Amino acid sequence: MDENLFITQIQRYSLHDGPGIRTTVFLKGCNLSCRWCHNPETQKSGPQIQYLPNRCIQCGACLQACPQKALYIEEGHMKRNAGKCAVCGACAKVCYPDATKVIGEKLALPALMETLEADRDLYEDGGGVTFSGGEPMLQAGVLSRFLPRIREAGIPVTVDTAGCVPFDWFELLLLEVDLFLYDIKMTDPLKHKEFTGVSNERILDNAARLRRAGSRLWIRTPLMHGVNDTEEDLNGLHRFLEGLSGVERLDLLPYHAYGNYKAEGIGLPSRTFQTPSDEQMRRIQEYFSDIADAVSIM
Amino acid sequence: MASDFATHREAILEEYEEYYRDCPYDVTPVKEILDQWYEEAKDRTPYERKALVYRAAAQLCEIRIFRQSPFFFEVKTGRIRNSSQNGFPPGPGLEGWYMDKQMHYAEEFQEWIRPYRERDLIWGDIFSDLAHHSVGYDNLLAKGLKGFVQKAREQMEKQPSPAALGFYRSVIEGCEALRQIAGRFSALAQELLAGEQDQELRDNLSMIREAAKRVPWEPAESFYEALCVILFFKEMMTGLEGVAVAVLGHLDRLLEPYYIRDCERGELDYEKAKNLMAHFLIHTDARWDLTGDEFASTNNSLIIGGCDQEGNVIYNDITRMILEVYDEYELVNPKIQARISSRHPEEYFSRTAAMIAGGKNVFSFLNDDVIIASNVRMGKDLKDARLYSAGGCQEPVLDNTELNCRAFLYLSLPQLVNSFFDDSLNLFFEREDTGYEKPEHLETFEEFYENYIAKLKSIYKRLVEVLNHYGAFMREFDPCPLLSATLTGCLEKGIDMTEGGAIYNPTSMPLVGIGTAINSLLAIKEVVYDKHMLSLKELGALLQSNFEADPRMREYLLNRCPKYGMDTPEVNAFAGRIFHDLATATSGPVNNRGGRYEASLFVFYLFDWMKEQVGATSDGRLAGTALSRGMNPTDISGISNTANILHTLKKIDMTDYPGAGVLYLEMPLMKSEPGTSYLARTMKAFLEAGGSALDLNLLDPQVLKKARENPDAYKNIVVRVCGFSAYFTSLDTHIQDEIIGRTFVNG
Repeated sequence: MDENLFITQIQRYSLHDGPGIRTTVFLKGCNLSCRWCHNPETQKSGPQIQYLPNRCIQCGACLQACPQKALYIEEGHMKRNAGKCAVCGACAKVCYPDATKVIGEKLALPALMETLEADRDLYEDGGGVTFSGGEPMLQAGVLSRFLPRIREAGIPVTVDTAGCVPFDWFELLLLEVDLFLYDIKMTDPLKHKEFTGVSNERILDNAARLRRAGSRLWIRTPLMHGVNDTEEDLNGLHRFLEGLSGVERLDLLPYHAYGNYKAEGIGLPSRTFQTPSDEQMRRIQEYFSDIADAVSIM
Repeated sequence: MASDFATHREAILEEYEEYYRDCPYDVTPVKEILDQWYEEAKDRTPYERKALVYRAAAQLCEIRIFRQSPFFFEVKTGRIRNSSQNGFPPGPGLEGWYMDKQMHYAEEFQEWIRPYRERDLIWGDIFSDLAHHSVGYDNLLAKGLKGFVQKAREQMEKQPSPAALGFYRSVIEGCEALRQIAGRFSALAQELLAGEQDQELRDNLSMIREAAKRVPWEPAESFYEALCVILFFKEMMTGLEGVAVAVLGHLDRLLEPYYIRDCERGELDYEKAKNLMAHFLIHTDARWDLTGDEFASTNNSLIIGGCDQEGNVIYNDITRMILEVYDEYELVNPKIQARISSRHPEEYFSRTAAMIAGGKNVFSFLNDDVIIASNVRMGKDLKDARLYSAGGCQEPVLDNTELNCRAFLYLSLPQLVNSFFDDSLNLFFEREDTGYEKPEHLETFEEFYENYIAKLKSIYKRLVEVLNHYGAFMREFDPCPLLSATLTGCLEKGIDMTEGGAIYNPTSMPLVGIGTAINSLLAIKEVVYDKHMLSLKELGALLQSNFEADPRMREYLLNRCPKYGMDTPEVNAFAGRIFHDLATATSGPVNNRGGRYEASLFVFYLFDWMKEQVGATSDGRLAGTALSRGMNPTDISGISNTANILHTLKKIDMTDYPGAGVLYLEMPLMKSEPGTSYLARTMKAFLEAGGSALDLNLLDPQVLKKARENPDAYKNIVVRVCGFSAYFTSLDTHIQDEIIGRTFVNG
C-alpha cells in the first residue's frame, strides 16, 4: 500500500482526545474555517510555511537560501511574498531555531504502526489512536484502508470530526471506528455559516445518522462567550442533543486563545473571543446534565 | 485505647509545636560532663568513647512525654528542630558531640575535595554517608535489646580481640542506656497520671507506662508495642548516633503479624490500629517546621507494598490505613516509598493515583522487579534483596543486612564532557595520580567516546582510593555500635557497621546530569564527527563564549542535534549503550568495608546545586543553568512527553543500577475525566518499561505562578521537589522557578 495520510503532527500521550491515554494524529485540511480555530495550521490541505517571530534570531539564513527570492526583512522580521513562494522548504531547512517550518508531512502506514506499537503499554484501560485535525474525514479514503490494519493490531480507533462530509464517507469507516468525537458548535444554521463558513445542516443530519447506525458518540462543543452561549443557543443545542439520544458524553470546551500565535505564524488573521466564566461554565454543565452519561468541562 | 486522633488533632499539633519551636534546647552542661568522661576514657576504644553519649542521654538528659500522644520518644538531646537531614556537619546536640572531636578527618578530606567541588566536578562534604540509614527493625522487634545484649555477652566469652571487646561493651552500654531511658518514660507516665484528669489522655499515659516498662528491651508483643519500638529507636538513633536515620521501616510488612495476632485476640481492630498509626505518623510533620524558609526535606521515609522474603506481594490492611491517614489528615511526611510491581492489586495503583490527583503527592515509586534484580546482580542473596527500603529519598538499602553508603558524594557527567574543551577542568588529572593520559588526537567519535569513559573510570578509580582511605577512619570518626547491633552480622563479627560489620556493605557515588551528558555527546558526534561543521577546538571556543560567538550554531545544537528522549532507534541505542557503560565504569571495586561500589543515578537536587561552574555544554545549554534531573532528558530539549520517555526507557537496562535512577514525570493536571486512571496506567507502563524509581508530579504552571505571587492564598499546594514533597510556597523562590520551569507538552 503506497499511500499516505497528510498530517501536521503526531501527539503521543494525549489525554484529551478520547478515552484513556492516546496517540493523536492531526490530519491536515479542513472544510470549516471556524474563527476560533485553535489548530489553524491544520485548515489548509496542502503544505504551508509557518513563521514564528519570537523564535527568530534574525540571522538571515533563510533569505539567502530561498531560490525564489520570496523573502525579505521588514522591521527586523522575515516577511514572505506568498506569490513568489513555492513552499519548497529551503528556508525551513536552514532555520536552526525552527522559527520557519514547513507544516504538513506525509505519514505512511508502516511508520504510523511503529509509532502506535511503541505506546501499546499505555493504551490498556481504553486508550488507542485518535485521528483529529483538521477534518480527518476529508481523508476517509486513505483512512478506510489504514484502519483495518490498526484494528487488527488490537488498537482502538477514535475519529474527531466536525461531521461536514457526505454520509457515504462515514459509511466507509463505520465498522472500523470505535468512537466518534463529534463537534457541534451551534444549531442555528445562519450563525453557523457566519462563524465557520458553512451551514450546519449536514453536520446535524450526520450526527443523527451516525447514532441510528449505532456509532458511539462523544459530542464536543467549544464555547465562546457571546457567540454560542446565549440562552437561545444553549436551548437549541439541548433540544438537538435530546433528540440524538444515547450520546455517551458531552465535552464542553471553554474557548482559549492558544491557537492565535499559530494563526499569525501562517499569515491568518487571529481573532480573540471571550471565554465564558468558570461560573457560567458550571451553569452550562448543569443545564446539560440530563443529555449524556457524563458532561465535562475540558 | 489511645486518645482519638481525629478529635484531638489540633491539640496534638499544638502540643508538639509548643515544645519543638524552642529547639534546639541547650545541652551545654551535659556536653561538659561528657567532655570530662571523654578525657577519662582516653585509652578506651572509639566505640566505648562513643557509648558515653548513650550513657549521658540515660543519666543526664531530660525526657518529655506529650500527653496527647500514646508514644514515647523525646529525649532532650539538643537536636535542632529540622534535624536528620544530613548528619553532617555535626549538630549542636549530643548527636554531634562525638563527631565534633574528630573533625580533623573531615577537614582534611574537605581540603582535598575543595578544588574539584569549586569547579562543580565533584560534590561532597564528607567521606561517608551519615544520613539515609535504616535500622535492622526485624531484628530489633524480634529480639529486643535484651537479645542484642545476650548475643554480645555470648560473643565476649569467645575471647574476642580488644577492639571487638570494646565494641561489645559499647553495645551493652547502649542497650542498657535505652532500657534505662524507657524505664524513665514509664515512671514519668506514672507520675503524670496523678495529675491528669482527661480520661483519654490518661489512657495515653497508661499505655506509655506499660509499654515503656517492656520495650524496646523485650521483643515487641503487639502492634502498639511494635510502633513504640520503631519510633523510640529511630528517634534515639538520630539523637545519639550522629548519623541521620531516615527510614521508619517497611511498615506494612513489619507490622502485619502483630496486627493479625492482636485482631485475633480481640485486642485490636482496623480503626484502633489506624488511630495508632495516625499518632505514629504525625510526629514527622509536627516535629519539623515545614512552612519556614529552610530546604524542608525531613528525610524521613516509610515503605509500603513490595514483598516479603519469600516474594509474596504485600498490600494489606496496614497499607490501606497508612494511605487513609495521609489522605484524611493531609500529611506531607514521612515520604512514602511505595514499592510496586506488576503483581500488585489494582486497588494499590488506583488508590495512590487518586491521592496524587487529589494533591496529596507524598510518593516515590520503586519498581521491585528492577531493584531486587539489580541487587541480586551484585551478588546479594535473593531473599535478602527482596527486603529493601529506601532511605532519605529513593536510595535503596536492604533491610537488616546492609549498610549502604550513598548520596554523599556526586560526580558531574556534563563537567567531564566539558573537560575535553576546557583544560582547566583537567586539574583533577593533573593533581591526582589517576593514570589517565590525554590523547594527542581524537580522530573518530568512537575514540572520543572511549576516552570519555576512560576518563570517568580513572577519576572514579582515584575517588575510590580516597574514599577507602578516609573510610578507614570511620571507626574513629563516628562509630555507631548501637545502630550496628540491629544489623545482622555486626554482633556476630564483633565489627561496627562503619567498618563492615553488616552482611552487605556497598558504596555508591551517583552520577549527575546524565541527560545533559548524553545530549552533549550526541551533539559532538553530529557536528564534529558526522557533519564536520566544527572542529573540536572550534566547538570548544564556541562553548567558551557561551555561544555568543555564533548564536545560530547554538540553535543548531539545541534543535537539530539528536536528543536523549526523542525516541528514535539511533538515540535509544546510544542511550542504552552509555547507561550500560557508565554503570560498568562505576561498579565493582571493593570499599574499605569489604563491600562493592555500585552504580547509581540517584542525584537528589544536585542537578541544581552543581550547575554554577558548568560552562555552556554542547547540547546548547547555557553556562550556569541547571543540568538534567535524575535520569530524565534535559528540560531544554523540550522532551517531556511521557510516551517518548517510557519507550526510551525500554532500551535501558536499569538493573545495572542498584543505587537506582529516578525518572521524574511531570503530568498534566486533569480538571475533568478521565480522572485518575491515566496515572495508574502510567505507573504500570513505567513498570513494563523497566524503570527503577518514579516520581510523578501534577503541575498546573498557572496555579503555581499565582501561588508564587500570592503565597497566602495557596498555602496548601504540595509539590514533589525531588524525592521529597514540600509546600510549594515554603520553597525558596529560585526552587519555585525551577519547578514552574519544568515545562511539559502533554495533554
